[in-house]
Amino acid sequence: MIECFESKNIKRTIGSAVLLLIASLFVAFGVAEISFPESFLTFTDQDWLLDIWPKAYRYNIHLGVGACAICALLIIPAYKLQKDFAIRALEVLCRIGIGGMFIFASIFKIQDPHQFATLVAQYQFFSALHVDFVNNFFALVYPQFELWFGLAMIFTPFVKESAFAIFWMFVSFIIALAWALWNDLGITCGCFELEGAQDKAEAWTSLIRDLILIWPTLWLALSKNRSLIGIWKK
Amino acid sequence: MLCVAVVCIPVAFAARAAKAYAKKLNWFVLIGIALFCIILAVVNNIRVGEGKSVEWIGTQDVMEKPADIL
Repeated sequence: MIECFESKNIKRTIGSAVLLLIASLFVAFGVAEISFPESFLTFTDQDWLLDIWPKAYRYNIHLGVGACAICALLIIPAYKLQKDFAIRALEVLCRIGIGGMFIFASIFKIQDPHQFATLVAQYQFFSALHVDFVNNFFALVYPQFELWFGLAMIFTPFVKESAFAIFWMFVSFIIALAWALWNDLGITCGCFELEGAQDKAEAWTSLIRDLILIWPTLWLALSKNRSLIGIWKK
Repeated sequence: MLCVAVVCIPVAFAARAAKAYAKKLNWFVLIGIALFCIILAVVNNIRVGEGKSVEWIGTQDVMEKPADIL
């Protein structure tokens, strides 16, 4: 009787793990499609696809948001199969995913503060507030926040504090991107790459990504402080 | 009166929850990481050298909007 129960439990855990793995692949694909059109791990810029469907590159946002929606739908059966395991696994995946994204985003900015300061200036946000003298210092400090709070989210037990900081960074990105769209500045987000500070109107795609990713960050900010290994302890 | 209550009651609950949440946060860690980041930002600006470094206080020029998205 106990063996049968344990075997059923193991099957449910494996089922939940497989669903969460597929969900994380979908969200990685979705974020890549939204964030890196024409450059990194994307599907809509593949030559074979463009041969069949020449306008596929226009639909990267639709595909990205669709993939994120499928991810959300896959989490529901994973949670129902094995609630305890799904919550723990989701916390690990969210911490590694969001923390890793922030670490990755900070590297280019730390390497070239001048270029990032130029990019921040294009938003014209500080000049509108008559505090444009803070632009350079902001461009110096902000990538460091991204790097160290991203690292803290993955490698320390202080998930509440790091997620709290990252949540407010997301809020600031959303305000900045909404500002850029409202004022029709036509600038690139500058979230992951510094090339072409003013050559693409992609701010709205980044806004969609941030509006999706702020929710798991809020969930992490409300969760308990524990290390990645501590999550699995009873 | 009802309108005031509709606005004030949720605001009061939200403020209470925010206060309780702020008490749970480890401010020592948060401020510690923030100060560490500021120190590293200063070091990084010196480390990257001429060309890539910026003035401590100031801004950069705003470029002209490209014609293709005007």
